Amino acid sequence: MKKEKKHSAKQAAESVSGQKQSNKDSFRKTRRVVWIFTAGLILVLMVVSVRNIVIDYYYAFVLRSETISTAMNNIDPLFYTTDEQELLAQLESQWDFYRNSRLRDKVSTQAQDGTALSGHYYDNDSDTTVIVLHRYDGSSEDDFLYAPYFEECNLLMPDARNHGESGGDASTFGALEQYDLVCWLDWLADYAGEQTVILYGEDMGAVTALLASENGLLSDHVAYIIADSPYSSLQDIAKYTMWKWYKIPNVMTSLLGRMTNNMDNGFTVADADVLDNADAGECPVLFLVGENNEYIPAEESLAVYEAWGGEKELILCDSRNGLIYGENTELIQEALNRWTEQYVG
Amino acid sequence: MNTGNAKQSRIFYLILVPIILVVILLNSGFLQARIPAVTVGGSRFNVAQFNYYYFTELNSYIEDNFDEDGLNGPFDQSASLKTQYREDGSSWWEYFCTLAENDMKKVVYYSNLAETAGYEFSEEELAPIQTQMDAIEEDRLLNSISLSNYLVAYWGVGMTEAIYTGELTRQVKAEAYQTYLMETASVSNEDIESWIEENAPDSYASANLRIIVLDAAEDRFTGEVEEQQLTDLAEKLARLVERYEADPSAFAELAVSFCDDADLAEAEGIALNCTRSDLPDLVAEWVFTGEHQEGDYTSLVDESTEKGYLVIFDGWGEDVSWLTAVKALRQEQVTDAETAATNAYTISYHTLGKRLIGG
Repeated sequence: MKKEKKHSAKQAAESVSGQKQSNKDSFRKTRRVVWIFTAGLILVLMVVSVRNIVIDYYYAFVLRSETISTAMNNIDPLFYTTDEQELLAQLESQWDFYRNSRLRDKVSTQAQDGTALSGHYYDNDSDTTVIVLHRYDGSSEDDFLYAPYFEECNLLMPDARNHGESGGDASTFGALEQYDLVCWLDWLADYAGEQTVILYGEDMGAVTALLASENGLLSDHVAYIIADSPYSSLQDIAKYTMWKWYKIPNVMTSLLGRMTNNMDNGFTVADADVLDNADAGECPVLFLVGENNEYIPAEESLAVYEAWGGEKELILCDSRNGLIYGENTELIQEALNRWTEQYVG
Repeated sequence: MNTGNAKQSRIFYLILVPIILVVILLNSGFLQARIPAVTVGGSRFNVAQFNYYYFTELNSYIEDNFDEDGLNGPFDQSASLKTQYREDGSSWWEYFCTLAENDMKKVVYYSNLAETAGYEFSEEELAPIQTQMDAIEEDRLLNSISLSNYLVAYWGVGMTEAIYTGELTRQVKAEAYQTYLMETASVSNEDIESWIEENAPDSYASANLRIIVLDAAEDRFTGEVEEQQLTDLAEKLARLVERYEADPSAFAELAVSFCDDADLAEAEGIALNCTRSDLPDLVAEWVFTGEHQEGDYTSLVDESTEKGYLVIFDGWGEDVSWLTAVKALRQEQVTDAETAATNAYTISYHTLGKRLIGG
């Protein structure tokens, strides 16, 4: 009896021990499954979040949907000091006098892909026209502080596609805008007859003019280009901007670029690369670069200057964004006098 | 301990929970859309409906009397209007409630009239409804908020799209029916002749004109029209005259392109049968003084209106005294009837609803 008891007790103990071991194994398996499931869920959520963030920025910056204002508000606004404001005030008053004392015609044309393009034209009965290509997120309503200097010229201020009153679903950062520029040049020839043209571009506007030149789209009527703070390529400026203002890592910006390429917008990121063919640029370019530009780093603009194949001159100053002309008016006007004499006559 | 817990549970469920529920309901707008606020001339308006009229008046007042930032004006928008007072001693809340009452009286009056008459509103008469909704849609997209949040922000808690469009429709219909009455009311020849006799018949000589109006710009730093802006305007007007003189047949195009008065631009600058009272003093002075021949023109910069005018005289118009008299008498007849009827309306506020109106 005792032996049986011992035996059954031992059996019971072994049975319990075995059961415990089995329970432990089962628990470990379950825990492993839960961890794998949780990790998988987190991974899926991360992928979805990344995708949503990329989509959001695509909608904001390329399509300029209603979220663009929120996106642009996240970029630190440029605050001018009192002295800087006073400096700009004089030029702004002169621009206001120019604009308020002249009739401004609303004009329109059509891009090669059928996009409706709109703009404004100041007819000063001249045989020279300055075409003003505004920056990204700007419009034909922006100030053009150089206008009083060019008061003897006509002034054409188009809205880039997907800006102002122009049509178009996507901004292409110069890629398609260069062809729109050609349409405007054709329009100008029809409207005003043979014109000598000076192109002024800032930011995306400068890139538009440079791309048009290096791709052989500009006629001989274009005397020269004033390129204020161009970026070297959409890819580079996107990576810089996304990280500086939104802390979006380059990997995700590359995803944004890939998404842009995959959308049927008629362009790829590579189409907005000035450096790619800059050595083929023939039009003379006066580069204006501010070393303290918070939005377009000077290195970007200087890279374009270095690579440009045509006649060129660089005015490099320590100005911040929007202050190059205000802080270097005499210097720039002196350069413009030489350039106009040399290339316009 | 159990007794203490039971007591706490009682307090929680009988007192706190109802309070919390009421606060939630009040902030959700559920109550505002159901609690009656006021009865006007027999028609009941709930809190949200009252708020439509109240905030429409308030928003309009703010737009006209505050600066662009909404910071400087006759009252502090961040504080309750019930505790801010006007010069006559009434609170601003009472002021806007009174305006809302007047609007509701008008809506009730004309709604009843139109319904009794079986009046059918045309698409054109109802078009202002969609125009207003489009304007709201544009503004809310600009501010990146949903329609429901936009309506609550501007018309108070409880405002929904259904309530807003409902009251907007009633108001548009009321105004349309009032206009219909003013255009069709019967007036006698005797009354017309008496009116003309009383109201200086010479005032109703008229001229056919073509006009392009240019607005002076505002100084970007002061927001005012300063001397410089008037100088700029004069130069711009001179350029306009140059263009006209270069090709008079292109006047219509010039009007469409440059006229800052939208109605005139749409009419290609044509203004028929203009009387003295239709025109700014400076323009009327030129038109009705001296002899003009068809085609005579002038350019005028008016400092008082801060506008520039290119005016072309195209001949004398019809005698509009009869038409003017008819219009004035009809308006008088309709508004007198409205006043008599609505003055007899009783306005009774409901206690709880009155506490909730006006935000």
